[in-house]
This record gives sequence, C-alpha cells and structure tokens, in this order.
Amino acid sequence: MTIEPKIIPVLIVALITWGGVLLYLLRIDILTRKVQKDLQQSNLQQDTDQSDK
Amino acid sequence: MMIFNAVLAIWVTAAMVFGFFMPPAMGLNTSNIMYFHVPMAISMEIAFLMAAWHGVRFLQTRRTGHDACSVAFAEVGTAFGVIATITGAIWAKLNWGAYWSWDPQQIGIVAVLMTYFALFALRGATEDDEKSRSAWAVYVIFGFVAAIFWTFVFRRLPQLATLHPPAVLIHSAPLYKWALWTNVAGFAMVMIKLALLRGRVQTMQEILKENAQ
Repeated sequence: MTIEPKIIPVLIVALITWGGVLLYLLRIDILTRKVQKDLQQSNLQQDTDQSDK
Repeated sequence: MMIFNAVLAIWVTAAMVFGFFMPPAMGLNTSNIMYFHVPMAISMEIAFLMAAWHGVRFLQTRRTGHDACSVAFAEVGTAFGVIATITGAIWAKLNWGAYWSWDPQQIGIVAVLMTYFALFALRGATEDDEKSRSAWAVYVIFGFVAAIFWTFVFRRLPQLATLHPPAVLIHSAPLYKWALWTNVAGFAMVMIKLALLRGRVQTMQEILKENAQ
C-alpha cells in the first residue's frame, strides 16, 4: 500500500488539528491534577484546624 | 454522559474518515483540508457566541459558574482559532503559493484571535476578582460583536477582494455539503465537550481561591 503525495498535506493538517486538540486535553489534565492537589491540601488544612480546636 | 461521549467519538471518527476519502472538490487535490480547517474556524466562532452568552448570564445572575463557563469557552475558542489559522496558512500555501496573502478572511481570523487575547490580557490585569469578572462579561459581549464584524462583514466589504471561494457551506454539491456539515457538527461538539471540562476545572479553582481567602 502506497501513500499518494496529494494525501500528505491533508495528513499533516489532520495531525496538526488533532494534535492541537490533544495538547489542549493535556492542559485540562494538568489543571485538573493541580486542582486535586490543592483540594487535598485544603482538606488537610481544614482537618488540622478542626483537630486544633 | 457516557452515551454522549460514545456518540461523539463515533461521530467524529466517522466524519473524519468520510472527509478524508471524499473526492477532490472544485478540482483541488488538497480540498480535503476543508474538512479540518473550516470546522475549526466555525467552532471558534461558536465558542465566542457561547462565551458571550455566559457573559450575559453572569451579568444577569452574578453566578460565578457562568463566568467560569465564559472563560472556558473563550480559552477553547482561542485554541481552535490558532489551529484554524495554522491549517489555513498551510492550505493557502498549497493553493495560492503563500502562507499569508493579506486576504480579508485571513485578516479577519487573526483579528478575532487578537480579540480573544485582549480578553485574557484584560482579565489578568485586574487584581479584584469581582471587577475582573464584570469587566470580562462586558468585554466578551463587545468582543463577540467585533468577531461578527471581522468574520461576516469585513470580508464582504466591496473594496476588498478575497481569494476564498464564496459561500462554500451553502452552494456546494450535496455530498460535499453533507461531509462538511457533519465535520462542523463533530468539531463543534468536541469544542463544547472541552469547554465544559475546562469550565468545571475553572469553577473548582474559583471555589478553592474563595475558600483560601
């Protein structure tokens, strides 16, 4: 099976399009992990405050 | 939600395969790029509409959830706009011989992107969260009006000649029209899905910030 040269630009564009979407998904994933970490810290802080009282 | 995700995955894959193997349109070997570039550009505009709508809702209700959604749609719209600009430049090089030709539609998409960037600059410039949200909501509405001008009015000005073919979405043969609209719907759904995910994260960030204060 050979790839026709005319298909290559379309493949590049498809790669950029879906690569961009994937990169944005990765950004959401990074932000979600950061929020989860902050939430855990916030919960820990609240537990510590309550036990101090 | 799982059903929606499954339908979205099947829809987008089927639309992409359909677009990929469509015969060349208007005698252009690279016409299949249309099924990636055009839906991204349209999704960028829909994202601006959604961001503006959430801006209006925020001004009406003052609920931070609407502000978070507005920011999320604007962010996804910016990402889609950047992708549409890059893929458009590649297509322009293949068809017209240059990545950039100062075509009214090329200028229009960059102007919309600049409007998005200005929104984020404005949001980052204010320390007070309440003021920042209100300024965002007002500016995103004006930004959407500007986006309408750059997308639909500017390129039709009689003084400006465009290299883009007119009304492809409306006047193409039914098969091409169907392939294009299927892809537009698919990418628009992907955009909405991404924005909803981003909106949830933004809401959580806002709640954590408020709790910390």
